[in-house]
Amino acid sequence: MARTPGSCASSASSTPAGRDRAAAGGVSRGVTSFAQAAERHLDDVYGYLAWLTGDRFAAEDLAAETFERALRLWSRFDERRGSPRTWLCQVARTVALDHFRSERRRLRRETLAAVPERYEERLLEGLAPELEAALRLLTAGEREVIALRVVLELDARSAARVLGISATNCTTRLHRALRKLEEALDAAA
Amino acid sequence: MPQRDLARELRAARPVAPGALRERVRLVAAQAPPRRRVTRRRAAAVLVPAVAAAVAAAVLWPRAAPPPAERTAGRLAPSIEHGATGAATASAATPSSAPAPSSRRLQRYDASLELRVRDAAALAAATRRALAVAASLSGYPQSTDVSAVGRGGEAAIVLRIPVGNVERAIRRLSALGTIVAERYRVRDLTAEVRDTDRLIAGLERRLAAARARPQDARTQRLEDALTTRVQALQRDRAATVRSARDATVRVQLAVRTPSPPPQPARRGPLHGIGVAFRWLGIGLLYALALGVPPAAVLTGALLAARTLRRRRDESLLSRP
Repeated sequence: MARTPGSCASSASSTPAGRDRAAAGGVSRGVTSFAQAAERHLDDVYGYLAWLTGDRFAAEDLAAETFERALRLWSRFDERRGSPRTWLCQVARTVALDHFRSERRRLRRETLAAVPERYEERLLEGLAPELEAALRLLTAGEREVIALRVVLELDARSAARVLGISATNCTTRLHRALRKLEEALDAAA
Repeated sequence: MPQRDLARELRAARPVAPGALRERVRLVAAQAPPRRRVTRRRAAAVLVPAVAAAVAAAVLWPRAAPPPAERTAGRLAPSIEHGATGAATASAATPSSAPAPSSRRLQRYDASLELRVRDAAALAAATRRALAVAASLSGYPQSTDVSAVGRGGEAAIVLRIPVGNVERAIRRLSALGTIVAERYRVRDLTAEVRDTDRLIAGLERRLAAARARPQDARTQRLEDALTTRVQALQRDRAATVRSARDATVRVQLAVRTPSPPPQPARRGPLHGIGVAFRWLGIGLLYALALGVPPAAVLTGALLAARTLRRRRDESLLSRP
């Protein structure tokens, strides 16, 4: 993973919680602050989008768009209401939902004209084939909650903030998604 | 697979942003954040409530000054009432709102003037002058009631003035003192008299037909009844025409009583705060009454929109 010199790649920021603390604790608001937040949380945002969309190439475009939009909205960001990572995930989710909407419109148009083409590609590098197949059975919403809670290790409150639901609801969703994933794996086995 | 192992495997496959994306984001982050601009939406968010408040204020606050009393001339509506209250100086005594009687139509004209005079001597002089005005304009006093007690006193005079001279009479009577109040009532009687004429003509036709029939006791009774009715109607008509010939002008004269000097209200040191709180309360009440219904509607609309948006998002994310 490439890091710019001077970015916070310290031991404190090696864990997700440490990254949140480091981002929230330090720098003054402005260009530098946004640049640092972008550098620090790019992988999280990209990972979240890759899980949510199930398409790494789309996730790349959406991640870039997320940071463009986040730069425009940076003046609205309030650290007291959440960490930069949570906020960036919220922006990423909005961007992804816009993408899903436009995709749905596109698919509708293409369905009218011809059978739409779907490209099956690997969801994530390094996953066992049966796990990847099981993940493909999950809905985008289920993959999203797993990405936030398990992969990005956000706490229930932050993940709920990203999803716009209550923490209890978030936990319930995670439980159901994991159970569905396990059932799919068992069935494959 | 146990959940712990599953989580470990999922975390191990955590995607890392490719170098191209990292470079792209770095370029984005290097830009200066755009300054907040006055967008159309922001301008609308400020302007729309402001315009709505201005319109509401214009609608809710009625115009303070009523339209000036129109001087009625020539044709009059069947019944017109004019009135004014408040002091006017004797020099500007010409009553501005006295409607002119019509010379071609039958009208019952009633005027009432309330005047203030300086003292008891002025009261006596004004009473004499009012009677003289009536006499000079071919009118007569219908009733005069004068009472004087010490330095005070009042007089109530009812004058009957030919309708053709009533305007002049009112002008002269208004100059007798300071006008405190004036009231005019004009009722058109032409239609009423015409109706009576038609009724009389019809009855007379019936009477002539009855007379042409062979006479018996029943016909005689009918003739008597019709004759009585026609005579009564003719009397009424004559009385109506008579009443329209002369206008009734009531003049109320009173000695001006000096108003007592205003007593300074006993107010405590916290009176100003009390007044301020009272006005604040009134303002708050108005703000609540005007603001709560639109706010409730707006809140409901926003909640509905949010719920709808969430449902749409859920449906978007419910596909694999």
